[in-house]
Amino acid sequence: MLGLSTPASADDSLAALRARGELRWGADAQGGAPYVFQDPMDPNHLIGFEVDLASEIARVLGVRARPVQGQWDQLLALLNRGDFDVALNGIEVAEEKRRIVALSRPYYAAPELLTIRRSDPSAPRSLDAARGRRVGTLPGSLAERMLARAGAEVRTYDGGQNEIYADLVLGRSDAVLLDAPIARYYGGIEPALEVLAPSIGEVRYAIALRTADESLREALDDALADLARDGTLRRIYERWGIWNTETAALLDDRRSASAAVAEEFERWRAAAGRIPPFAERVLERYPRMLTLFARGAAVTLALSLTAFALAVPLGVALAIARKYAPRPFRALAVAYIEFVRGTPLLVQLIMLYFGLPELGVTLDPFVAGALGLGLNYAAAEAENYRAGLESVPTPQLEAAWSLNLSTPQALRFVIAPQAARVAIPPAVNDFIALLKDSSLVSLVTLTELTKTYTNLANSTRDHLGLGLVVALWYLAIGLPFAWLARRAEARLGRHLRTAP
Amino acid sequence: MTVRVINLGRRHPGTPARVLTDVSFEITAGTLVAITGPSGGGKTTLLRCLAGLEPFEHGTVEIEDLRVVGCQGAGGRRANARARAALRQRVGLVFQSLELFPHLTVLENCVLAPIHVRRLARADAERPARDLLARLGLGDKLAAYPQHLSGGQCQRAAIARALAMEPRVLLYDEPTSALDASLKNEVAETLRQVRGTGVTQLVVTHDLAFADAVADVRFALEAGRLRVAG
Repeated sequence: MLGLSTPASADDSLAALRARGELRWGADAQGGAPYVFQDPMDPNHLIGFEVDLASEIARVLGVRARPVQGQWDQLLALLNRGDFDVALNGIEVAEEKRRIVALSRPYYAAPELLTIRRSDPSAPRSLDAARGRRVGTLPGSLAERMLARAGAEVRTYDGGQNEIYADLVLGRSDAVLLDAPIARYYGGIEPALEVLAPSIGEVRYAIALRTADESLREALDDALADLARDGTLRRIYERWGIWNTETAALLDDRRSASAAVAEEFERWRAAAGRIPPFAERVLERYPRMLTLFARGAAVTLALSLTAFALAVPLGVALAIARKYAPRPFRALAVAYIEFVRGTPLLVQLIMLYFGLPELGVTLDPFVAGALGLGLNYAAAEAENYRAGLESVPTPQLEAAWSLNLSTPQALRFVIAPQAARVAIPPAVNDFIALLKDSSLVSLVTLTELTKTYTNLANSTRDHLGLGLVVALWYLAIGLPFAWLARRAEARLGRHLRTAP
Repeated sequence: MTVRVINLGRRHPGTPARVLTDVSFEITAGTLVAITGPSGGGKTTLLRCLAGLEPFEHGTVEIEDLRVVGCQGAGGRRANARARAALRQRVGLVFQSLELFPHLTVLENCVLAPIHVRRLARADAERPARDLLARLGLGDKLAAYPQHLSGGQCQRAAIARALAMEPRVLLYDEPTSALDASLKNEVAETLRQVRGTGVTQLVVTHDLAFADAVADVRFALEAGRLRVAG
């Protein structure tokens, strides 16, 4: 009997995961509390009820849990690409998701709650009243579909949850409809806002896996059942203050309501409910974020330097091909430059990272990011260098030829040094633009400076102060290059100075 | 004979119009020849053909042991490209606009090609270049950039740069076009000085007085045809 009930599973996903000793679970720290977020008291730590859930599941499976940062709206694509084993971040159970991934049994259920401004007498206090009103929510969520059906003017936000409630406080929207945990953590701690009690609909969260990973799915379902049965899930949810009747029904938990203290919620309210004065943040909070920002800056810098190291030689080759090569090469160079320059960097990155795997080429996130930025900026560099080459009069090349220098020698010793003086300022300008554009690579799971900022801003609800901090970091990285460029330019232009 | 040009012919690229028609002449080693004529008469084209900067379709150019035959068609252009490189080894050209390299000092202008083409060590390239520049009166301008030289000094620096490659023939394109009378005398003096070294010189100019003052032999080039003048 036992032998018969064991499925003849051909996939080795569970065995592979056990052999690796680690469960890589994908989540977006920018999404915020109480799911997965940076501890506002100690931003070096990732906390949240899903962090606790992931480590409990990993414990049952006998492995370690390792979170992998991924952009929330890309989690399922990243999962299918193989960047992590499971996606665990408030992923709603919905039929259309089952077409691209497998889902575990639900681990949490929540009602949707409407939040309004206390000072607004005409605020919509029910879903019906939301018809024609501006209501904020998360894109692709059950709440969005319910609002659309109700005829509301839906406003979706790609940033963190904090922005959605901040807009409501500022009067840019009339209400917010979101899952109960979010409403409690972001709406409930804001004195100007009121979370309305009536539950509207119900959303369930499940863990997403690749469709083929059948054995892992069974193991996850068993683990979730165990954790529900022994009360672990309930303890986690109670500590985070998000235990509710919907989840009790889902987990078939008939124990009476407990008086457990929602200690994690209290900690959150103490830390994020009141944003300390600027001086206090500068003196106490920001220094604790130094290593996080430094790590983000290191990623930004390494990525930008690698990308630029690719963009410069490729740009030189393209510029020379465009100006001096025979016609077919010239046409190729022009085609490359126009194609790359004429399409958005974001599209190119998505094609490289999510498109190439369809052809069997799966790039490492850093490689994909550096390659995408480098290939893109090569086109801009090529045009800078071409402008430099054009600035050198043609007879200079002939003068070099008449001295019997070969064309490569003439380019290197006569044309390039004169062209460089013209090309360096725009090239440095491009490098600084590249530093900033590198923030797009958070798409490919890299946490660079901007992603560090958005994550922290959402977990501490401090957008302005941290914005200044991240601006200073970008300046600190960019200014030395601007200075180096001015020196190089002066050196290359020393023949233009007045006679000694 | 150092230079012998036989029936040289050159078309406007892509048109049947001829720039040079059956141009023939000979120059004895060490002489200074002037070619005069109106603008558009083909003077500069002739120089560029001799200097290996432009191909020619008809005729022959002989410089000492080198014989270059005009070619047509793509294959011909490739063969001609090799021949032109050989020409450049023996022929130096002083451009009308001089084309000194502005980012290099006077001395660096003169040693760039000896170092990278003749593969001389820097010291071996600099020694004769310093002597040459000193003889041409630029001994105190070695470290100056072209930007900071007078017109006459630039002219001499360009001549020195060409001579540093030790050509057998030195060509000048309108060497006096931008100079006033006193500087023309200075250039004439420099050309005589170079003649003393045994280098064959060919000067293209529309300045008849200058041509008469410096040339051993004078030709006139009009509408692409050459005739003996004066």
